[in-house]
Amino acid sequence: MYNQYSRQEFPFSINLITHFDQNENLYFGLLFVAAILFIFIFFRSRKRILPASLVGVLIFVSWMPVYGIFFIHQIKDLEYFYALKEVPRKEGIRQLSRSCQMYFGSDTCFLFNIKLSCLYNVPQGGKVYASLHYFTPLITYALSDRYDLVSNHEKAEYILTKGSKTDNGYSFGGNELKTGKFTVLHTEDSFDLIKIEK
Amino acid sequence: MIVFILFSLLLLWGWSVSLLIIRPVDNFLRLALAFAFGALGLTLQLFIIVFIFNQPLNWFFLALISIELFIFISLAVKRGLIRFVRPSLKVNIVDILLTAFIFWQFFIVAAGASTMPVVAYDSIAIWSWKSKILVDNFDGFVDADSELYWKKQGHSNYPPHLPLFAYWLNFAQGDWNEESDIMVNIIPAAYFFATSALLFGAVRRESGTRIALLMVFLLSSMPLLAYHGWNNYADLPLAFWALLAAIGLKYSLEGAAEWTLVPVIAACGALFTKNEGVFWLISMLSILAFYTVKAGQSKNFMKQVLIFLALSGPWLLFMMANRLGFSNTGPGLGLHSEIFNKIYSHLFVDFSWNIWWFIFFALVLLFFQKIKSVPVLGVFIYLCLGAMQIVAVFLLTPAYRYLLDGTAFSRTMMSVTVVSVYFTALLLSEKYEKNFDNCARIQ
Repeated sequence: MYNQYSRQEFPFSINLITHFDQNENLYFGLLFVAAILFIFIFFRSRKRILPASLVGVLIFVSWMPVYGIFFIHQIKDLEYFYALKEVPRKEGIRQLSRSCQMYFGSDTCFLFNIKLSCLYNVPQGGKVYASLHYFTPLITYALSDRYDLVSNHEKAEYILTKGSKTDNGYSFGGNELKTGKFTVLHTEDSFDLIKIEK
Repeated sequence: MIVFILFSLLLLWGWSVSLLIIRPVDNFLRLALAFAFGALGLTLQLFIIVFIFNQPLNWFFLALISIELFIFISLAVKRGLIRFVRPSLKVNIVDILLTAFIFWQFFIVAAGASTMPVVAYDSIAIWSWKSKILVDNFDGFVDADSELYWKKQGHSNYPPHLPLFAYWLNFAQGDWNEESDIMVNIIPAAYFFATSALLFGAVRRESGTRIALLMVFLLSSMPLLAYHGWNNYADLPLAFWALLAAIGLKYSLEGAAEWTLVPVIAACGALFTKNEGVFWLISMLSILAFYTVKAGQSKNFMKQVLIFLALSGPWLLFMMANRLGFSNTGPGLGLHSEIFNKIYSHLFVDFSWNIWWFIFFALVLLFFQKIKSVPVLGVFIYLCLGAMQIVAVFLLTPAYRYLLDGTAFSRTMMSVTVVSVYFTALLLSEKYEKNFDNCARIQ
């Protein structure tokens, strides 16, 4: 019933960029502002009009350093996309979930900073509720052919949560789970997998 | 294969409609318009069939679309409207370099869209989820007693354009399988390409190929935008409609009669794609109302409003009948000034936009006084009104927490960003015109 996978069993392992210094954006941006102001004032003092081509070149040149970093990031993405093609879908998603991947530190971009080995203990098709919704879909997807994301945690058979035990039951994501009894199946650094006994 | 046939049919349908509405335009603009009209036209009809008549997508619908296509093309042929604008092949090394970068971005988006299943949260929980029920269990989707009834799903007030688009592409697929999950990502990729084509066509018309290529390169290489190119969210599609509305608004204000309907069609598309589309609708209608009434063309404005109501009417009435609102949050107004720090961080420090917002603000500050023409000013006001409404929602409503936790602001700003790229191109072209005027005067 349970399938236990180890990291070594996966056919490939790619570690994507795990960290990006976002401040680089700020530095190059400020540099652009300084440069265009300087050039503008220079031309203005000579009563000449700033050539259009110079503005274009300045934009392009300022854009490229940050783009260069993004470009490298994309090459790694590409490597990853094609690696995914080589493995069955679910394995691919599990592998994706395993990767520690940080996209730009922005919303909709995920920090896949999770260890999912415990998840492979969950029976196929089991319903999972996860409060850390940034990676919920991946987990849910990895578990089942269908999206068994339940909107009400009382219906869930398993809960994956970054939570802590309280007097009343189990607390996660600011909510307290009060119904049912729980068994903590697995504990990782960042979350616990709980089975609800109904 | 069948997916590409269905997609081509959608494009062909939109192309034939665009021929009837707009006379010869740049090939890229034509392509983007074909996609816009096709995607909106088909999903609006599907909406009526699915949500109002509770009927599934079937061969009769396909036959209906084919008949419409036949009629539109016949009309276009009869009126001699089918003409192709010959593309100019004058390029140099700079253009080739920019084109290569753009194609690289396109390639990455295509690779992501063709290999990755839906992995982003809203896509799985909302957009693709609804498509999946539509395909897998249509009866449940329209049955009020079923757990799968559309109203019982998360965010039932979200417009159904994207789920219906995916439903259309899944026609003849039978059930929702692993391929369907990947195939859904065709939609954001198509919107990514269409947005690029639209921007290129519109900017080339104003400022020439070089600036158009530069702007498309900047747009397509913004990390968050590229990322959304292969993740089925509604923010990039909304950005496409907001851009189309801005372009239509500009030409409409210039007095191009054939473009009069485009901004309202685009506003309808925005409203039918994401609730935030209402911001762009309000901005666009306010500007149109002000300028057209001021110019004594209130008849034109009434025509635009009527067309908008005719297109959006079914969805708006449906929302009213089912008591669906635009808001995602509960009531409670307040001033949440703590968001400004985070806004600064989202725009200038995060990696989402490269250094776009530095470029934008610097150029606006330096060249704003050069704006003389009413249409460009109209686009600027449209951009400001849209952005201000978005910020106001985060500033004054409980939605502020979605800004603070980083889940919504950057992607909501995507439409503002895309319109700002277009405006910057206009600003540069205004400045160039001044340059050219000065040169001409000196000579």
